[in-house]
Amino acid sequence: MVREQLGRPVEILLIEDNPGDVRLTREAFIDGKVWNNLHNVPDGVEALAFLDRRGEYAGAPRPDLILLDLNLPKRDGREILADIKADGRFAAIPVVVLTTSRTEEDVLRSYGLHANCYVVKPIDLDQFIKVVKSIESFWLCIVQLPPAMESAAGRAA
Amino acid sequence: MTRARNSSRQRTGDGAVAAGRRSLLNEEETLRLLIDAVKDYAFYMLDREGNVATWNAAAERIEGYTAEEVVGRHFSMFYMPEDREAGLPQQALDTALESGRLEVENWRLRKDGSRFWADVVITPIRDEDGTLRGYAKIMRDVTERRQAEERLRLSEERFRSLVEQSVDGIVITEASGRIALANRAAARMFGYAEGDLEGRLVDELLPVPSRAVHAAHRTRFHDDPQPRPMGGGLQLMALRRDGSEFPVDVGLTPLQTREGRAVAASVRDITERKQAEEELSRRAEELARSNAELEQFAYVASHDLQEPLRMVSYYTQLLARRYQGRLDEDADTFIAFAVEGASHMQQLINDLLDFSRVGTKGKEFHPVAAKAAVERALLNLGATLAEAGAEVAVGELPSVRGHDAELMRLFQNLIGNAVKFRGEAPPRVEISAQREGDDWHFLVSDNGIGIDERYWERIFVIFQRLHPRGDHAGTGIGLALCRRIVERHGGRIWVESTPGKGTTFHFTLPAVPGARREALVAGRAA
Repeated sequence: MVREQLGRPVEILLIEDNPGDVRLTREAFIDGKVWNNLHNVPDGVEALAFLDRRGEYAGAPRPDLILLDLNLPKRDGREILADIKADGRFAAIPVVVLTTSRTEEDVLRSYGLHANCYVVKPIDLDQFIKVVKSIESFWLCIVQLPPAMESAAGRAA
Repeated sequence: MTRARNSSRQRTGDGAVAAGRRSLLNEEETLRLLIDAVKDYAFYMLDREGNVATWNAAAERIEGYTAEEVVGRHFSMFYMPEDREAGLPQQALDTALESGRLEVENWRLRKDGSRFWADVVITPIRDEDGTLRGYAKIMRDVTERRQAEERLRLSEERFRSLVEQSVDGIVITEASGRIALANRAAARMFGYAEGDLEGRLVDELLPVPSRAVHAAHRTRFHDDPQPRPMGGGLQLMALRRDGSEFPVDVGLTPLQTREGRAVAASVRDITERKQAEEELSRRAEELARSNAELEQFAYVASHDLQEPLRMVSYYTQLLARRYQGRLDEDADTFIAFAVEGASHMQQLINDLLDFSRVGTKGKEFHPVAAKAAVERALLNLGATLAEAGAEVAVGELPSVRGHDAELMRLFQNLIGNAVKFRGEAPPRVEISAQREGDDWHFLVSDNGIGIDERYWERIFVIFQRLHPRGDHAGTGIGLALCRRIVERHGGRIWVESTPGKGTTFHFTLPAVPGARREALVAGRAA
């Protein structure tokens, strides 16, 4: 298990402005089987501050996984995605796009910007919880995360 | 050199012979010979009373009479009977006598009764003492010239009437730029009195800024005179006498006249057409903008409505899950209504989103095998079809020009509709197509409950439902979406139905250009 591999909780950054979604996501992760810390920032500006460990985020950990909502105030999700993937320090961190948009254009554009996967938030509560748990088990249990990530995390810490 | 000298000597020799002969003939005889030698001019003498005295060979050829037949007879025999009765022959002699010479043209008779147009000169002949001896008549047959003139006159008349009757303004301009002729329509169009345009410079009909350009164009036109529209597709403006301008279409035709090269311009005032065109394009623009805004509105509204709605949905569900049975019975019911309402609204918004997405940009048309679209639709409907025990018979279907996902959606909605509104019997759906001109006419028939004729139009309107919720689930967008898809493909959709027996949906889609029979084969292969 990832927990054993890392010897520390998995750090997840949720970039989401809707407190309702944050709460539900948090609940789903609390129920989860992976030892994790869920950090939330409400917009793109804060997200970049978190990653750069600026200001109040000076002591922030380097996230192992980013959950990104596309429709955000200030810098919108697509721009943040582009910023993260263009930055050599963060490009290897898997980004899961979580959004209400089913638009073909949004899907294509997100993958074009190197999103690691694109997930539409289901309308049904059970479905939503299922999706969050699937994300957790796929990215934190099944997938082999890049070693560069761990060493980078180690260095940063 | 030698030869030249020889020939010149020979000529001198001929001259000598002629001179010798002349000396043998008296003057009168010489004259007679000369007169006889003249081929095209009848030459004859009349005595004082007008009787024929002499008659030359040309006169015989033209009139058909020999000298024996006419000498001594009165010259009025050559006149047309009506002219004779009117006393024209005597008048001619009298006039000739008074004026010393008369030249007339009129019809004359030949011996065979045919007539010819004669050009006649009558000259009185007098002695040295002035006594009248008779008259000399020289006559020429100018029928052909007259006919040619007549033809010319007719053709000119036709030309004039054509020009005058023309609804378009016609302005004929010489190479110098001077107007040689302008018809009534042109005068009216440009605000001049009839006949007032002739002689003016054509530049006066052009707005000042375009005159220099026009002069250059005129030179070029005269260098290569070919009929052509003026301005090469550009908007041409013309100038009225009062200084106002108006848009025109001008066709140019080169003309070759006796005075040199000219150009005929046919000018049409297109003010009204222009206004109509502008009005049309303005309306089209407005319509396109309002359509785009509507699509944008539908998209944004449904997209942005998703977020808050999802919250309502999640948290009413969470409420239901955590507090079911822990409040009271009413609370459970209220929560159930809220959950259901949120779910229905979600459905509506999704449908609206789908509807607004049909035909948005970035979806190009390609040849699509209709059979493949149907098969994918059937795959998507798999569970529904199995549950209803539905049977779907798909005939041979062609390829059409379209968008594959939209066509799949079209078939899916129609088949799904047929199964949803099924009767007592297990649903049976038939899909077929037949060629009609440049289109394929598709039929989707079922054995369902049917639709009353009153509703044949209404069912295609968005969110129109014929059945209470619960009887037949749905938002009422399926057929509206079908119509939008078909119309976006340039087709038409309509319905025919017998309540209690079944319904047939008809729609047309454009065939793939250049594919007729092959289309069916492609459909079968797919």
